[in-house]
Amino acid sequence: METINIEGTEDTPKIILDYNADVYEISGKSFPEDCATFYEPVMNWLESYSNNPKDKMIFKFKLDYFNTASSKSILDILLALEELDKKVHIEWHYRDGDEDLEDAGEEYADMVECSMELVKF
Amino acid sequence: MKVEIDSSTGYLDFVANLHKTMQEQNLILIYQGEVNQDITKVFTSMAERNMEMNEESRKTSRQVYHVMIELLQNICKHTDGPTTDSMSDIGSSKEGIFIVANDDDNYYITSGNVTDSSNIPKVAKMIDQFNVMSKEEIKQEYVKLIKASKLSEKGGAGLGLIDIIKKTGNKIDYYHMDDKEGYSFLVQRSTVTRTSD
Repeated sequence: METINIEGTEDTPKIILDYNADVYEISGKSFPEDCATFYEPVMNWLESYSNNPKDKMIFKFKLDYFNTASSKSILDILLALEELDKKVHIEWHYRDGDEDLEDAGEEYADMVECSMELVKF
Repeated sequence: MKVEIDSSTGYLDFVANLHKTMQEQNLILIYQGEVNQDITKVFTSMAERNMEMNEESRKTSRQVYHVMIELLQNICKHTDGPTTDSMSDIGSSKEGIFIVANDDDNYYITSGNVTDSSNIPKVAKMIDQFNVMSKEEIKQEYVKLIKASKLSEKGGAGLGLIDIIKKTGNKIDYYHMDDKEGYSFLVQRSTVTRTSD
């Protein structure tokens, strides 16, 4: 499978989706000008992955900040992961003391039927 | 207020007075012009640095940063006024006004942009409705909206206003000035309460 490796910028997150190395991670800040276009490769990658999923996948979110348009894209990613059934575990990392990110993680955990863990760093 | 830029003394006097007013009103940033993603990035990173220098709490800084991004991107995405060629009295599309101010208790982030007057009742109804909701109601409504929302062609999720109220815990004030050509200048103000860590 194709590997996605996008470097982070001031307004877009770093994304690694590497099937061979078993690394699936979105980190940094996310407030792109056009969220749908930015996250489109991720959605397409997840669709391909769903045709040949591994026995287990650990998907990590390590976001510092995201805007409301990104919050919708993140929910779309989580819903795509939910489709993979129990083969996926989500780690939602948030900085110690960042209530907004902690709350967001809790809200997403309520919205999707996935194994999801909140990790403080 | 009409200022003659050619008459240097009058203009320089105006600048000096503007500076004084900005200081008196604790206006940290005033911007009038085109708002795009680059402007959004510059303003927010500038605000981040300023708040760090002023030793604002992390919570306050994060909230101001977030409200600035949402309101600036709102101007980028929702400004739909007349083009510059057919400029009406209230301004043209792609342009907006953006102001950040503070006092001892709060930060005030205000944005204004031109929109089709037919959008005003919808926006007003939405803000009025969110403003009177309890914290718990806002949370429930947000979950409902994020599940139902779709990213528009302009790239917005339609969640900006409710999310600002949800995160800041404060109401949004708004005001609109309408012209005869069917356009309105819509001004919105969000408040972030200063907190200590």
